[in-house]
Parts: sequence; structure tokens; C-alpha cells
Amino acid sequence: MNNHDVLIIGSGASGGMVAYTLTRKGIRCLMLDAGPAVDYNRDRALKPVYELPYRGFGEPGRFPHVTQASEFNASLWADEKQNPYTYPENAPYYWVRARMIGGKTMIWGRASWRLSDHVFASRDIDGFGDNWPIRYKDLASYYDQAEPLFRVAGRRDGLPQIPDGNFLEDNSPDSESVARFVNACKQYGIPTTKARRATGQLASSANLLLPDALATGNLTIVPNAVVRELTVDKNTGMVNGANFVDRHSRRELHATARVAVVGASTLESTRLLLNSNIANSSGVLGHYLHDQFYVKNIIQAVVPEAREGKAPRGLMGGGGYIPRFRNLNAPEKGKRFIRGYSVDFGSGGTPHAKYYPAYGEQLRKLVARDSGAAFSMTAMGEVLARKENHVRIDKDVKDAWGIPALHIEHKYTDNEFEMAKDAMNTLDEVCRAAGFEVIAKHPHMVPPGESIHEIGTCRMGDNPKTSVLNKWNQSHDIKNLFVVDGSSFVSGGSQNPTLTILALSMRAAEYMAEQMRTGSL
Amino acid sequence: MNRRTILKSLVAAQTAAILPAQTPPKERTVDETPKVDLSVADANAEPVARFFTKDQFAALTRLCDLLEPPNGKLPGAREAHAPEFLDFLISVSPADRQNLYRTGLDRLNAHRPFATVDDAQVATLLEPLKRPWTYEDPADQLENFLRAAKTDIMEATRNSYEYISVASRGSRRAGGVGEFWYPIY
Repeated sequence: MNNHDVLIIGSGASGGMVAYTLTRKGIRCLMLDAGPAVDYNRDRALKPVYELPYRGFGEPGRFPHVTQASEFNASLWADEKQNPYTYPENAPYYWVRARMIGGKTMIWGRASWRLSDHVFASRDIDGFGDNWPIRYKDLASYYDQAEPLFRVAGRRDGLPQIPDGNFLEDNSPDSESVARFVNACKQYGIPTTKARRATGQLASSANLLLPDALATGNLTIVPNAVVRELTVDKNTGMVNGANFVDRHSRRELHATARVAVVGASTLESTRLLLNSNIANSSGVLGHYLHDQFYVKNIIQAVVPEAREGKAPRGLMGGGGYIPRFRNLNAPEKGKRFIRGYSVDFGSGGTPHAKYYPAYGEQLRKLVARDSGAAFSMTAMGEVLARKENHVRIDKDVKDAWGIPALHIEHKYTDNEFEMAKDAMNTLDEVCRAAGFEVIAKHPHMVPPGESIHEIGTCRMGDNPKTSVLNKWNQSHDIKNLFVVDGSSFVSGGSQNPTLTILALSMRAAEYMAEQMRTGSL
Repeated sequence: MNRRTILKSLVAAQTAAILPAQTPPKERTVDETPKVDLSVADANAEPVARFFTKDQFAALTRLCDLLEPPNGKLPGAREAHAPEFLDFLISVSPADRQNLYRTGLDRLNAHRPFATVDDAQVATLLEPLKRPWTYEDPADQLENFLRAAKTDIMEATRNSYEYISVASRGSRRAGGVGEFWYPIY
């Protein structure tokens, strides 16, 4: 049997980045992932929708909580029957999971924003919650390294809430409709910038991190390894390995290592620690679950000049991003919420037929009239990290491998509801100022979890009595245990979390390597 | 020559006249695994409806005619067998969706069979579809059903073999082809 220095559980953004960082320093890593490896030649094919068993509707009831799943891509999402979880009857939680080598980076939206001290020190601004134990300056150099690895493209606009970075410059001109929207935003003092995204045919751990780690000869990956629990040496109190189950045969195995790194995704990592009954002297493991709320298509507008197929070249197309602007440096007077929201906006496409109060031939004419004339946007708001929003083990429910399932309790509160209303009203005004016709608007956020931005539950902090991890993503209780994914967040701002997960996990890995080099681990 | 022999010779003569000269089969090794050309069921067979009652199915068919009529050469919902497909889809759907459809179709049939009502009565019954869109599901079950049916009938039609096989001949953008993922091992 091979001996490994570090056991890494999970192969997504955080596990992949730890493997990438450690193996290049000569540290031998064993990576376990609960899912299989995708073979792009074998596992996919082009098919017409009418060849699918359900004409593109998808198998009814297969994915009640995964609105992102289609009949085309159903095989990419974790099966909900094999992987059950529970929640209160009146508070559904949409837990969206992907189990495969590369994790959710195989299917992510790629938005890549840095957090700033508006997030790391948010308590200093409005008195709510806790500050992170780190500041932007502690993470900046890791963002600098993660962005080129993921070929992030964006535009440097000097906006302090989303610090500029080391990315491919996107200075492409805006379409006329986007320029009109941007100018209208300026009238309201609202900043905008280009989208900032990882680029490339595939922008995942599986093609950008793991191949380089494997090339060192120091990484071994075992797929289809569903980890049941971490094991602890009774004499030292240190983690000495993990028990796992083969996904297909359900055969039980045990892997050992000097150091354990958990990067199985926010809630799976916390579930694993809870099932292992470790790292919880603080009692806060599982608490402070939060995410970003999404109000999808909060505004559906139409650019009148583009109707009837009359859009001149350059009027439509493209899009952009509004970073958080509310309560940025201090709570604004008259606002019934703290923190703020961001907005993705896009020009082009056709509004969905559901928005039109018509049917039959009349509906067809209306949709044809507005074909290609849509201007749409989605708001993403900060959700406050509250202790009462938590997860715990539901001992009555087990997954397909006999591992106890998670019970998730997460509710949005008036702070989020008020924020969503402000976003709708503000964007409605901006669209009208831009000369657009708003055909539909609403402030209703999708259920907690659906944004796939779940964070918290294993948060970092300086005080071992109120946090699970220290500022290096290292367990306060067990020094050879690191948790490197989004579960370590103290607060999340309104930015998509993956780039910060990449930077945090790289930083944790460098610290880990130094501790191993000096013999502290 | 008895009657049986005469018939056999007639069949043989007809077959010889119809069939082209046969090419000899290609030599294949015993280990060869050829890729076999396949067709789709909808190009070769008619779907069978089993779930809704006769009256419910008749109402659904009328609703399909009204919501998604033919558009030039493009088939409408009826020609795309959307009623039969939705009969199947709802039959395998969760109970709340089955109930939404059954009660909705029964509401349409409440006073007279919906399949036979005149244009004025149609306009009255489908008036909920002329109300402004709201994010929340309407409290009225008929309106709720009609909203669902509006998008379902459209999708069932435009994703059908019948629709796409015509649409793809008229537009380079039509085709409904997507990247399908097989179960990953």
C-alpha cells in the first residue's frame, strides 16, 4: 500500500487547489472523490431533444430541488434519491450537488470576483455579525495567482468593493443598449463593470489544477470513494485517515495520512465532520449557514427600438455587472436593510412566452415582435450569517451507502426581503431611465441553496470558542485537520464565492506545506 | 399444378419484380461490432393516450389547438401529438401535477364539453391567460392550470419530432440538438 503525506477529500475548486499547491512542493497526496471521472469522448453525445425519453422535460420528480438539471445534463448532478437530506416542512432547502472529479467546477457559472474588506470587516461597517480573522491584504497575493490559473477576464475599473486583479483585460465595446443602461446607472450613482469570468472551453479543477498536480508524480486520485468518516488516533487525538465506501460495490476501505484536508463542498464537509464527531469543541460546527439569494429575472425589459427585428447592428448584445453599491461604507439612511446586492444584466434574446398576457396566434405575434429585443437581469444579494441557520445530522435518514444524512434549516429574513424589493424598484427605475419597456418585475428570491453558493457552517475565526477553524483553515481542535472550502466563510458579500475559495485553499496549502517542512505537522 | 403452387409462384414472381438485384452480404469477422442505424419511435408509430378520461383528453386536445395552432408549414400541437405526449408525461408526474391537470381539465368541461364550446365561451374560459403575469402561482386553480398548460403545450410541441423535422428544414437555427450526458461510471 502506498503511503501518503496528505489525504485530500474532494477534487473541486478547493481540493484541486490544495493538490496543485502541495504536490508542486514535493508533498505526496491521496485524493478521494465520491464521484467518477468524466470522459469527454465516452460520456456525452449530441442528441436531438425529441430522442430524449421525456422530450426535454426531464424525468418527472427526479430532481425536485435541482432546477439547473435538464434532461440533457441530468447525469451530471448528484442523484437526490441516493443522496437524501431533510429540512423543515415549511422551509425547503435546495441542495444542489455534483459528484465527479472536478466537482462543481465542471459546471459552474465561472463568475470570479474578489471579496474586499467591505466583506472581511463588515462588522466594522454596520455592527452585525463577525469580522473575518483575515483582511484583503492577507488574500490579495493568492487572488493574484488564482486568476491567471483560471484565465479570468474582466475590466479594471478601480471599484474598491471588487478589487481589480491579475486578469485578461476585457475592453470590448458595449452594445448601444448596454451603454444606455450603464449611463442610466450613472445617473443614479450606481457603478457598473464588465462581467468577470474564467474563460476557456473548460475552466475546472479537472483541466486546470489536477493535470499539473498529477504531472509531479505526487498525486494519486481515487474516484467513487464515498467518505464515511475521518478516523482519529486515540493516543494523539490527531486525524489519521478516513473510512470510505466504494460507490459501486459498497466495499469499505480505510486510507491513512499525516494530514487530512477536507474540501468536499460546504455542506458535505460539515456533514463529514459531524458524522466523525470531531472538531466541534466550539459547538458552532454546522451553524451560520448562508449563501447569496438570487432573484432571477428580477426585471424583464424590452428595448423598443429592437422590436420587429429592426435592431440596427450594435444595438443589442453583451451585458455587464453592477457590484454592490448599497450601504457600502456606512448604513444608508432610509434603507431598511444592511449590506447590499449585485446584479448581472444582459442584452439580447427573447422574453419567455409566460410574460405575455395572451395565447395562440396573438401570443405568437407578441413573442415574434420582441424576438431578440430582451434586456434581462438577475439580482444576487448578501444573506446575513445567522447562528440559527444551521445543519445537523438526521439520524433517521441515511444515504445509499448507509451514511447519516444532513438536516438543513435555513430561512431568509426581512433583511434579505427588503434588499430584494430595493433591487427591484431601483432596477425598474434605471431601466425606464434607459428608455426600456419593463414587461415584468418581481422581488421573489429562489429558495435558499438554489444559487449553489452555500457557505459557512465551519467558519474561521481567532476565538476557538466561536469558530471551528483558525485563519489558516486549520481546525482549532485538531491541528492536522484543514477544511478548505466555502464552509470556512464568515460572511459572503454578494460576490460569487469560487475565486475566494481558490485563494483561501491555496493560502491554506502554502501554510500547511510550511508547517510540514518545519515538522510542526 | 395445384392452387397452392400457383400462389407461391405468383408471390415469387412479384417479389422478383419488386426487389432490386441483391448485393452479396459483406464479409464480416465474428468479432465485428457494427454500428446499427436506428430510427425514433415517433417517426414510425402513433402514441397512445391512457391517463386522462375521454372527456379530459378531448378538452386537452382542444386546448392544444387553441394555444399552439399550426403556423404555416410548422405543425401545431395536435399534429405534434402534444396531447398524447402530455397524457404520458402527466401520468408519470408527481400527484400534485396530476391533480392540477385533472381538475383544470374538469373545470374546462364543467358546463359543456370544452371540445364543443363556441368561440365566445372559449374566450371566457381562457380569460385568465389574458391577465398580467405574476411571479406567485395564482390562487385560482383554473388559472394555475392554464399557465402550466400554456408553457407545457408549447414545449411539448416545439420539442417534438414532428415539429423539429419541419422546422429544421426551414431554418438553420432550428433543430433542438443539445449536449447529452450518459450516466457516468
